[in-house]
Amino acid sequence: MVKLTEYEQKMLDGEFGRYKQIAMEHVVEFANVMGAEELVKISKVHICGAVAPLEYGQSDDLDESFRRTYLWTKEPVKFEGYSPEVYIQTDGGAVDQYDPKPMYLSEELFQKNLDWQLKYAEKGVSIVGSCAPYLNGWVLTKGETFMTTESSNVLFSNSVYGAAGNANGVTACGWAAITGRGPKCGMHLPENRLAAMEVRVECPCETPRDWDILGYSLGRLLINYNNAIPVLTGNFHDVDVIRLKRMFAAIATTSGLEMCHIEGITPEAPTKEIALGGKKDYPVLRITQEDYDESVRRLCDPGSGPVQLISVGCPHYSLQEIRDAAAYIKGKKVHEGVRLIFWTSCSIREAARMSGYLDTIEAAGATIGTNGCPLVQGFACYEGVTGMAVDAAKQAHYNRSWLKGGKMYYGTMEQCVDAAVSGVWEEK
Amino acid sequence: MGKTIVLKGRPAYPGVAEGYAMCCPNSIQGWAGVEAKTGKIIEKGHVHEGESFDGKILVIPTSKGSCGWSGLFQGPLDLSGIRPAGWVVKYADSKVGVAAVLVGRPMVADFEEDIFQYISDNDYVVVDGNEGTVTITKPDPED
Repeated sequence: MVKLTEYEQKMLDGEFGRYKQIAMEHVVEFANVMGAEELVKISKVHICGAVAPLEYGQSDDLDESFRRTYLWTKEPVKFEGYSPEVYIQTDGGAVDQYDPKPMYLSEELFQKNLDWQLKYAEKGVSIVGSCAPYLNGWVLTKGETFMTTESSNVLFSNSVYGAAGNANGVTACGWAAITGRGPKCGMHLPENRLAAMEVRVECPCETPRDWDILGYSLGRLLINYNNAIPVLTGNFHDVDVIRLKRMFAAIATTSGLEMCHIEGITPEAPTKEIALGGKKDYPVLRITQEDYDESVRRLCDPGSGPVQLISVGCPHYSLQEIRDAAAYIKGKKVHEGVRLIFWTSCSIREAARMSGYLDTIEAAGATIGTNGCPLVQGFACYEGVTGMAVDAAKQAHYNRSWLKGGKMYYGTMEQCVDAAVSGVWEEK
Repeated sequence: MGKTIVLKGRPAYPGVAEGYAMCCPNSIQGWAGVEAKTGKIIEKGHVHEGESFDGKILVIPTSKGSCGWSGLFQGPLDLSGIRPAGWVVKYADSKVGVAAVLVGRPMVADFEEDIFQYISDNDYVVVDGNEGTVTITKPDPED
């Protein structure tokens, strides 16, 4: 059974009220399921705010929605906010920050979301609305503790920052934001952060799309290794945050991996030997051209065909990617009946507006979407869609479940823009 | 009665549950993997696509994909009161841990053996989350 500090025990005993007590009861139960011996203080939490982008827990009453979505109780407690000791910023949400129409969502939902955002912000939640928080204020130092509702952010924050956090879930992030605590297990224990295997990257790893396909392939094959942490070795060059975020999002689609070392790139892997903690005997997995081709085959339907919905930017585009998209689309015109959406955060959209990229994109008949993507603002957006094109493996993979037989095409940003302009996906 | 096998793991969530096994050797994808109202698996190409985990002993290697993984179980329970009767998990990561708390049903986890070599779909399974044992009864070949 988990051992608690005096402060944690008081919270569990209800000295700080029933609301915090319920959250602490869940944290303790969670810690016991994990076999954790103690709890750890959580510094930062990345969690959905306002109307949750989920099928369940929906209500017109904020308190009821909060109880069903984040706290998990049938007791009639009200939302009392989060611990002031924890920094909390929002993940993607149920509706765009500026315009619900491109995703076929209602004005009513849009207004409700704005109202609820203010109520969450009053309780200490910073409204950012992005799945790529590390591009928007989520800066962690080595060893800093976090929880997040975004799986690719678990990989990014552990691997790139050297911060410490596990992939948990929406409710666990809620409990951590209320109590400031989580189970001390997994990535919080140094011995669990070492690589347990080597992955030799022998497939192409030049472009962001290559890294996306590499991540998808790696995740597919890791399920056979119980999500053992790998150290990637290979001929890496020109690695940047854009390539890494693409790879992490794809890995976290096909596996439950929480950390991924890259030799010579990530801070806990200056060498393969250090990443492995001196292990001499470890499994070696090769990611080959064959694996790469198999992933593409799974992600992109064969042939050419009409498209009506094109969704680009997963994880949310950086300002650099928006700049490149604006440069490519400049002077082109999106085909009638086609929606082309570039997804990013509100802060990057504002920078794109100041830089003139937003005007360029809108002049072409495309839009910049914020606060989510089809995966969290979906369902309604597939109406009338027989073909959809995306530039990310994560989008191609998950949207298939909801597309109900429509064609899914996967390619580069440039291929997606070309398809939006012609209204047809052309097989290369 | 067919052949009986007993496996030993870590008692992860207390209580005793029994039911027919639903084996998912590739787990279930963590987003868009289950229909929230019915608990039916909607992951394309899944071995149990179209089937609900309601009342089953769910046998999985670990979680897969999104941090929303526990939501696969939170949704059906919130909307329809649907949940697995118990769990057998090769390796319980923290997404599985959150799901265990939400579902509140017995779980045995963290086995040394490859559980899928011993448990098949429709075996009758008793999950003892107090002792950490899993008792598997194979269907009678004469039935």
